[in-house]
Amino acid sequence: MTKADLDQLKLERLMLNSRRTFLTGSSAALAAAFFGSTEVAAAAAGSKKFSRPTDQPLATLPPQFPARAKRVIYLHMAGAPSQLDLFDYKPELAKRDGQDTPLSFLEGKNFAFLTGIPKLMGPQYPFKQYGSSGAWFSDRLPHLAEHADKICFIKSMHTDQFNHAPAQMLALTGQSRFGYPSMGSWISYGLGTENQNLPGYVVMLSGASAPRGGKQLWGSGFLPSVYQGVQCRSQGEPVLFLDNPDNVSSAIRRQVLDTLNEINQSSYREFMDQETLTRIAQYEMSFRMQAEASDVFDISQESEKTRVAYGADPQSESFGKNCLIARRLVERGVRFVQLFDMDWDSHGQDEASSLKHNFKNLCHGIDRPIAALLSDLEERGLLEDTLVVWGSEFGRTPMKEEANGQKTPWIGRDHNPSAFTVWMAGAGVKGGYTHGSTDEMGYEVADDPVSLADFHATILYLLGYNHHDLSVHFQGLDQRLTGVHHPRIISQILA
Amino acid sequence: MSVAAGNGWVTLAPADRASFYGARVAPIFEKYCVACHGAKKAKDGLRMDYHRLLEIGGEEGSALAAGGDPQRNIIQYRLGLSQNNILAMPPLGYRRPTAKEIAVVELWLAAGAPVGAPESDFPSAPAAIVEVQIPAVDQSLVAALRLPQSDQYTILKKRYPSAVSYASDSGNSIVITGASLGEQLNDIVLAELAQLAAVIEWADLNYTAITDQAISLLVAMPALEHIGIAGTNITQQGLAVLVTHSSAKAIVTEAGLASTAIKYMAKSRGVVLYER
Repeated sequence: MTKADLDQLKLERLMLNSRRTFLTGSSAALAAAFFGSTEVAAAAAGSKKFSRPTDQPLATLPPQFPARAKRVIYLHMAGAPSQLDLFDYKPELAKRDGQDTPLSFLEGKNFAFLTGIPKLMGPQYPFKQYGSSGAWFSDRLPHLAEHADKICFIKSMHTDQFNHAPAQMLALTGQSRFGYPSMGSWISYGLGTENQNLPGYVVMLSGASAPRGGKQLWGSGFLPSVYQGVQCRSQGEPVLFLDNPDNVSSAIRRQVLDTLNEINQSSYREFMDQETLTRIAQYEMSFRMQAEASDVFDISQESEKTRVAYGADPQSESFGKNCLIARRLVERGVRFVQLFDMDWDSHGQDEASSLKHNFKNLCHGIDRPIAALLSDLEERGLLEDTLVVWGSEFGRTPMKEEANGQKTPWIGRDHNPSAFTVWMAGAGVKGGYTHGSTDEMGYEVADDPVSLADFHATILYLLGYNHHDLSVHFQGLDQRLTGVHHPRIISQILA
Repeated sequence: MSVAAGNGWVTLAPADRASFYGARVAPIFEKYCVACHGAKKAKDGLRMDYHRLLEIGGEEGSALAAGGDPQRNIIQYRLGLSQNNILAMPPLGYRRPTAKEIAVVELWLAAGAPVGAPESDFPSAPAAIVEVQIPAVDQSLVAALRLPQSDQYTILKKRYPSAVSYASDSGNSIVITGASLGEQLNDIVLAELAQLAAVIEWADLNYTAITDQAISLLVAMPALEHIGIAGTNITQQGLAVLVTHSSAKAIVTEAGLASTAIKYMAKSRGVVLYER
């Protein structure tokens, strides 16, 4: 380290010191006045604000009230699958296939790609009703359709973002801007980690690319970074550099960590920086993970029958393999597993984005795995207290997208933020139930609209939290997953 | 209560919550209309917070007249206008009732806007939505509830922080889990945790080192609802005792452990057996 570096460090330390001294001295009186008033108000309203002991960032904490769901497996189809070709059956749209889109559909709307007057386009695949609930499925998801009576559809979701990155952020962090904690982070912050040898929040990706919203989608925003999702690989070492380097025994590693912890602890005592605690917690977690992580990611421990059901090949990455690992993770007490499956952006600009071409492969890639996941969770008694969520960032238009008006063999639809379909299954939700509906064209919500804030508040409710109380004071505001909205818990879908 | 309305004084009775009007219609008016058509503000002289005042109406006459005719009944007419129409109610920028809420109001007006007719008179009305009410928790009551076991809980929580926890902040039920301890959780540890037997509701002991010695502890947990014993040393005999005597209604076992006889016993006792 050069002298200049040392000087710089000294300077930074001095700046921190004086700033801290200033803050401790002057803010105490202000804080007392402020908190005095808010606490009185909170007590009067009968609500109890969430607080977590800072020295135990990952300790399990009980939820506010008895929870219906203890864990979540969240399947996000990045790119936005066409609800009109999977779940939201629109016979009237089929009748009008090829007609010009009415002008009233286009006025005041923003589209990512549609220009001029596009043609309406009916469902591209035949639909049938399944189960005693008579839920509609297209022929693309025959295995999932066998679970119709376990599934609770919400067909009236809407968002206000029509591009992938901001819409994904809105769906997963509650805000369309950078810098906010993801749903999994809020939940880990609230409930902690049940299994202290594994991360409480695991993320896995399948498909050729990564989501447009980037790592922000599982980031911890302004919460300490110990709550961010841990991205794991389903092939090779699940977490890179987790194992000890050659010639380093576990005992040596332990000694190194103990020394590091002492230094970090003294740094924390001096600077009181939350991120130091995060660092300690993460070193310790990775030490404990060395034994358990490789075991939980090893799907060769599963029977041949199970692997085939999921379509999971131990030798290659796939959504099916991720689903099987997700089950193994929740079984061992991991709180929130987030899977992303890529490439659902069916614009019809090429074969890969054509509803009549690659869309079939994508559907095939999720159909058996999700069906297997639902059966497996049920047989193992996990569906009682695990919530499975399938969703995306928005839906697709009932209009056909034509790339610059050129005729191509590819078929696609544009982004539709005004209506899309998500579904849940398992803990605390009604199986074989459909909430909300869209108009006859599947273009706008007709009944029981559900905002993303409603959706988030409902998931937190199932986990035992009043969304309003799980908050952190940051930048002058009580920040929440549901922001400053007044969402409604979707009571109709609760079992 | 009496207020000046129309040409004189009228006496107002609160809506009967058992009637269709009180249970279904009045809450919709309350939610969307009464802020401008109520006691504080009565625009156009119309108040919508009492049935009697709807009947009397405002400057444009009774709000209940010609119910069922979307052109002549003022409420139906104004509700039915598109949002940009200057006469639309609620006016542009205010929250508007949903299609189902409008259907409820229309059905009621078409039936002559009765004040006392019960909900059963309106079988075609969309089902009422019951909103989730999160009850406020009285922490002193919770503390009192937890008092009998609070000392043991504090000691055990300190000793096994990841294995024992309250199920929620609003009660005294306890959850125990071997997810972190794994095989370190054996019969001896379970015997310690069993000091809380009276209130243990959930025991996830999958992949721990417990044996049939643990069965007597589990059977003596009267509040137990869920047990997991997959991947432990518990034998078929142990499982048989558990299925016959435990209060748990859900038991997770290892695939193949439960014999046909055990499965039959489980079924007759209403116990769901899951296999891993």
